[in-house]
Formats: sequence, C-alpha cells, structure tokens
Amino acid sequence: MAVTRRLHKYYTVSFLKKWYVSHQRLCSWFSEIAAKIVKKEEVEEESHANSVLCWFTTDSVQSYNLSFVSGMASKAVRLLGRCLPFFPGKSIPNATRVQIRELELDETINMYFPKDTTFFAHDPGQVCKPGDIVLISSLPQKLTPLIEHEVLKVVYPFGDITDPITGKKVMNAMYREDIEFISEMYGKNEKGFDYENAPERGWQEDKKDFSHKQSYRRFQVYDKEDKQPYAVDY
Amino acid sequence: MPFMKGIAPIRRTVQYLQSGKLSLKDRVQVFSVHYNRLGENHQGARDFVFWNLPQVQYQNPQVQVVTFKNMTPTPFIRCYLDSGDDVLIDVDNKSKEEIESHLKLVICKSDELLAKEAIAQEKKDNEANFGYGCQRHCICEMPGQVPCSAVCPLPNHMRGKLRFATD
Repeated sequence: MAVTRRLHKYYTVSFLKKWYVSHQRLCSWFSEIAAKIVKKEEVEEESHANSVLCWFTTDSVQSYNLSFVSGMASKAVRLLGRCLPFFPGKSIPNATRVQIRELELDETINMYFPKDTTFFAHDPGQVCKPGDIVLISSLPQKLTPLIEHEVLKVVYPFGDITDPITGKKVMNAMYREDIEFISEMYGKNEKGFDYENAPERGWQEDKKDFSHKQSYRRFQVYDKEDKQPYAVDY
Repeated sequence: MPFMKGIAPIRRTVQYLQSGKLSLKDRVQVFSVHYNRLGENHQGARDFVFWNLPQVQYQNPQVQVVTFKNMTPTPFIRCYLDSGDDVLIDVDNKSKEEIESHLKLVICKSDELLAKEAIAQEKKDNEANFGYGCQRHCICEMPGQVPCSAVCPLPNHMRGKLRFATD
C-alpha cells in the first residue's frame, strides 16, 4: 500500500541534493523520491530509497497520514471523541478541541492502554459544547496549520443522551421516565431538576458563564466595580 | 508467558491476540461498545470487552476501538462506517459467544474473503525460477527445453569435451 509522508520542513529537495552531491547514485534516488513526496505523489513503500528517506520525514503517530493525496481516492479517517472545555491560550475560534481516546499496544506486556490525542475540529456553527461525544472526520486538506479535522455530528450531547435503541432520553444509565416514575412514587421534590422544562445548555452564557470566550489572567483589581467577567484566576 | 500477572493474563499473549476471529470490514472506522459496570443484562457485553476487545483491536489496528461505561440502561455496540452511517447492534442479555458470532455475521469479513486476502498478500517468488528451494529443480523439466543430459546425452557437436579435444 502506497503511503505519503510529510517531508520535514527543513529537508527540501534542494537540501537533500546538496547533502548527497557526492553520492551520485543515491542523489538520483533521493531526488526522485523526495520530489514525489514534495508533490505528494504515490511512493512505493518497498523501495530502499524510501526507507532511507523516512529518516528525513516527520513520522510521529499523529502526522502519519494514510490518505492518498492527488490522484487516488482519499479515505477520510473518522474518529469518535470528547469535546474539551475552552482553555485560554489553547482554544482557537471556529474550532473545538476534541480528545480522541485510542488504544496503544505496549509491546513488552502485549496490553492495550488508552492514549489520548487532542485535535482541533472545524466547527463554524459552535455546535459542540464541552463534554459532548462527537464524530470527527479528517479533512482532505488542512484548513489551517492546526485544524485537520471537522465535526460531522454530535453523537451524544453532554447530559442529554438519547438511547439509540429505544429512542428515549436517558440519564446515568436510567430512563428519564423511570426516574420520574420513581420520584413520583416517593413524592416529587419541587426543587428537583425538571428535565422537560429546563432550558437548553448554554443559556447562562454571557450572563453568568463566561468560560466559552477568549480569556486572560485577571488584572489587578483596584476598583470594586471592575468585574472583568471574562478573566480567569489561574 | 513473561509478566503474567493480573486477572487472566492469557489475554496478553501474542498467540491469543492473533487468534481473534473478528476481522472488521474495511468500511468500519470506529467500533464503540456501550455497557455498564453493573447489571445482569450487561454481563455478556462486559465479558466481550474483557476477553475479546484486545483481539478486535489487534486484528484491526486501523479501527478506533472505544468503550463507554454507564451511559445507557441497555448495552449496545455501535460501528461508524466511512460512508457516514452507523451500525447499531443491540447486545442486551446476550452472552459473549452470541455477541461474537453475531458480529462475525454482520460487520466482519467472511472466512472466504479472509482466505483470498491471505493468498493475495503472500509474496510469491518468481515462478520462473528453478533450482534449490524453487518449484522446479532444473530447466530440463520444462517441455521444449533441452532434456536432462543424465537421461538423454547431448549430441556430440554440443559437447565441449568432444569439440575441443586436441588428440
């Protein structure tokens, strides 16, 4: 299976040519393969030149791009992840931070351990809220240097999960109608949370909840009226 | 079995991981299992996750295998395909074996397909080669080639010892 690898930004084709100018035979190999990688063409995985060239490519787990660019059908990789809360300095506009949990095999004991990676997923409508389980898909081309994925759909919104088998609303592994039934049998608490009439999540944003906006460390407060609602204290 | 500590360390042997029967179809990209910590109806799903989930991940390294606990009253398995659809499999009150056999029917590659893929993947040596370790021992076995000189001697004008004899 042909694989595209991203050339490390410092090792351009001209750089590689200069480096191996003394090895005429190697130079032609590398320049050919390197030119193909730079043009994002298909490269034979078995070729020796490619295996040596992989020294020069960014081969981290996240950047190992298995999609074929230009010419072949690119298969978007779909992932299921959890939305992370807005974090000043880490979040960017029109994108949610999504944490993907994958299993990584530890070769010494042959056991799978969960490994979290964080991606920025393009979300122009701000559909995602922290804690939602969302399905993201890799984009054929990066939108920005940071955004490589887009949000396809919110599968389980936080706190408002619908059981896909029955279609009923569920809270903490119990059907909401069962919770209501039990509470009515015991005697309904007037102050208890009313699921049906409760406003949607995010109704206090910009009123009391300022965690979704760009933030900064709180400036020194000299005046009691200086409230600084968007500041954070850490 | 080195480092064989913990509950059922057989799950952590390479032979066990390789003997997984569930080879998911190429369309499947995410394999998610929802189950609860408690509840008799979730026991089968819990057993499946305990015994077979590492095998599923080992057989399908490209698939994201993810579990969710204590989210819904009934257990289910949800597979997200590359077309955007998802396959929902209800595993309420099913045993681990029933779940495995059902998954094999629904979203796994069939045995015939796996056998075909295994054949295609084998790197076959050049069939035209002959000699030690090859399919044919000598070129003389092929009809149309010069026959074996042990069986049928070469004509004298082709034999060097007679052509270049000085006496």
